[in-house]
Amino acid sequence: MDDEKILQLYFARDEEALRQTQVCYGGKLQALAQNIVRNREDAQECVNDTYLAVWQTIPPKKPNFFLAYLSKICRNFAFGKLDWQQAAKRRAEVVTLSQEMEQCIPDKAREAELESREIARAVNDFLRGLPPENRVLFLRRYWYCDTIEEIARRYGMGQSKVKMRLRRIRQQLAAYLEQEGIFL
Amino acid sequence: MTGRDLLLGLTEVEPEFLVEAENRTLPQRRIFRRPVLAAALIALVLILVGCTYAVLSETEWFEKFFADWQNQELSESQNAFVEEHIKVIGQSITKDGYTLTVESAIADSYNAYIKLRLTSENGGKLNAESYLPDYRFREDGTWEQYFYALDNPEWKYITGMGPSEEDPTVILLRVNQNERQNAKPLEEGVTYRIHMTGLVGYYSDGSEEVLTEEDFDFDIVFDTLYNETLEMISEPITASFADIQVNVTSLKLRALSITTDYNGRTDEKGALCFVDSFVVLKDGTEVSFRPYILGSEGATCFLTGPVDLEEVDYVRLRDGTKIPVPETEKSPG
Repeated sequence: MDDEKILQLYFARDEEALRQTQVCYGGKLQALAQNIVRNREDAQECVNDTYLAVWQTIPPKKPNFFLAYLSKICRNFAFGKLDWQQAAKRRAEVVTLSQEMEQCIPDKAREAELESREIARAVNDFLRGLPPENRVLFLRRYWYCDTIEEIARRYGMGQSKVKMRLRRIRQQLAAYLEQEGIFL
Repeated sequence: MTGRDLLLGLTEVEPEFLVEAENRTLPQRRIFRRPVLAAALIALVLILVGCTYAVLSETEWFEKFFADWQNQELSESQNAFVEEHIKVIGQSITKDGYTLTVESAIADSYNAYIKLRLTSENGGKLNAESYLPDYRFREDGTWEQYFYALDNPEWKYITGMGPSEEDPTVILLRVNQNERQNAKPLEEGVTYRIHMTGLVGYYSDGSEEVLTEEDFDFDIVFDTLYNETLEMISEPITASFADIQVNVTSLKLRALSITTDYNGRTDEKGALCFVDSFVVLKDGTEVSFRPYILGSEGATCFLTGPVDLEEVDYVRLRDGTKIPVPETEKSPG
């Protein structure tokens, strides 16, 4: 079933909407949540919370990109459920990701407190200027939290190449944030 | 703000980007599998003997160049390095019926390789053993081949040129900086001029043919330059060869070059301790390095293959001394 029809079901308050959402996108949401929490049960809980949130927000909302809408909600739930201390102890992928992101923050911005929206605006501007190939690599790694191995497999690239390209994008992001003085 | 904040803040990126990341496929590199293609390859070799370089992409050309030079197939990380850092240029100038094209370049901050190709505009054959700009010295002992930044024309970089062994119409220009002379490193975003005068064909019987005496000026900008440095020495070490011994105080590793500082000699022979030395990668690939700018206080070496600094395991000097990667972070420049 296509997105438009699923949304119609939500607007009609037909519970078939939830079933169709699960059929079409359940797997992707589960994978996204599991990439973050690295636990099957917790991931399933995030996905269920996502279905509930979507049921409660559509209508009145009518997202243009349904999967992106679902994914954002699911990502938020997954990060909300994540126990960072436990993650640090077991050297989880998200810890590596946050360390990699740390390299992009200009020294002057370390003390600044920013809302997610401000960060997203800066990153959106940066992403808009990237070639599409680099943009998708960046998002697969830092939005979808894919491992290097998964990205390499997905795009038929060597892991070294993926690592190298991501490193270069991080350097570009750091230079962009520094240059734009966004956080000052 | 922390890395975690940034990671969480990413949630609000534009949905179009997420759709793109969900659906986009990247152009995949063709991988030839030997068993399947054996017969096809034999046929291909028969057809392409003598002109294999003509069908190689710029990336493949440099991969083959380095593989030949280091006498070993490039490792995965080395191939990735070339693919990531090659700069395809494609800038041409025609003089007297001969066209020189700057095809591509690859560089770290102190060493660059720039590939040029010569073609004859009227399709005439280029039969010489090699072609080079006019390197004959003038009466005042200078020549007119330069590489410099347009905003600092007084500073001329050290250059060397050589023909490709496999294809005489390819000229490889190597640009070097001597860090010990406080030379400015190569930088992204800066316009560099390649100035050449004349083109001469050199034949195997010793004869020369001047194709043109005109100037060629190319302006190029690096935007894929690898500018990281890894200092391998945290405590001075001793390196030796035969009866020569030096105290090594610094060995800076870059993707394509090495600069080392040492003391204990008043002549240039200390550099001999760095001949037959290798950078060993984590996958076991050995990349040799060779000193080319020698001094009593140090040497600058070029690497025979590209090196991704994150993949370095250790450096092995001529006397067998192993220098492991220190715990400290890489630094820019």
